[in-house]
Amino acid sequence: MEEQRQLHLSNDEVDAWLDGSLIPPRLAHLDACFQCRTLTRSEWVVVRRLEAMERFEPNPGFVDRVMDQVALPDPFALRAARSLWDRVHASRRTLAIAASLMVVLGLSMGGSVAWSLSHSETLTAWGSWLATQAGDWFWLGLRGVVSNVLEHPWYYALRNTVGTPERIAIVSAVNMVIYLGGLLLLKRLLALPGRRVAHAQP
Amino acid sequence: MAKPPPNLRDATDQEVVAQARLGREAAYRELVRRYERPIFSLIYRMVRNRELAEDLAQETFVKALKAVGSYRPEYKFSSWIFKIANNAAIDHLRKRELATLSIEGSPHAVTPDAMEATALQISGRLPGPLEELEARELGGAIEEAIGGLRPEYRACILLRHVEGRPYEEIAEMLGLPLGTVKTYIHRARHELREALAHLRE
Repeated sequence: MEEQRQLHLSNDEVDAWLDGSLIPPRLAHLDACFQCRTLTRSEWVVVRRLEAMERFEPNPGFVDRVMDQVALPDPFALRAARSLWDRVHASRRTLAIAASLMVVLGLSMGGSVAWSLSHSETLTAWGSWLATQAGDWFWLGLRGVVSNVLEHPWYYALRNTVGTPERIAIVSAVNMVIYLGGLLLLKRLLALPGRRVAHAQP
Repeated sequence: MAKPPPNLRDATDQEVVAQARLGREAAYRELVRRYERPIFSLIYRMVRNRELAEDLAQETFVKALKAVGSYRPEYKFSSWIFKIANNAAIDHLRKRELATLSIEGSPHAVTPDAMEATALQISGRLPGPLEELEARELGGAIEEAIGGLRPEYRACILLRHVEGRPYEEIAEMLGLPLGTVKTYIHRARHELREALAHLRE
């Protein structure tokens, strides 16, 4: 103990003294040691000066300038879900209606699944009939479109124009250039304005 | 009944963050309002330029608010935002250090004209109102002494004694070992004591 009283305060002990938590034996040393008293006194002055330093304020309108650069995560789905949630929880009645609807929906879904499982052959027959019908309608439609195109007077002129592989290649290349040009133009037109950097107002 | 949103002024940081995550603009504004002064002060004292400090503070808030969805509530919001602010300031100081121009001009300038164009203008220009404001604000002895510290020491001492953050939190914010933070703070205080010694004599 006597030996500890002879040692000067360490940095951690100076911190403890500043926080008011230095242990009594070391406080006794501090009382007796001029060097440690001088050190702690000057540390105390520096710390008090630091603690008394004011906080600076940014220029007025800082919050607005920050908000100008932040997009709120508020998609329609989020708002709609929140609105629905608030409406459902608005009263006991709305909550009861919502619960009843959920029960009806759940029962309907359960019934549908059970019926499907027990009538799988009927469902398969309906599926094949629908697939056959859809195929027939598709071919009928395609034949209609082709015969319609063939009847137009410009069809033969077009056919003569792109009658050779070289011509087809040239026309395809020109179309590709026009297409890419259109894409670039569209991208430029739809580009968002550059990020605005708000500066402090003098 | 749905739980009504808390009054944001009286709400804790965590409650405000929860509201912000739901997309409430008022919660975003409240977070900026709460921290604009401490964050701006820290950055201003780090970079010692008002306009730049405001840009970096804005950048800090924009980054924090955009990432509020990924913020982990088990950490203190204040630690999180101070960490972003400190990183912004330190990054800037490092970049500035790399891009420092000599008084004679850029080291990349090869012709006399280029050297003149890139040389630092240190005379013949009166300080503008902004510089005068900065000089007044940062001109106190303690502010000047802080300005003379290494950036790492400056960050530590400001967070500890101006913002009143505990050592452990500072270590977490700055990504440094606790012992290093303590050493930096002790050294910073030692340098400040020496810088301010003449005032006591």
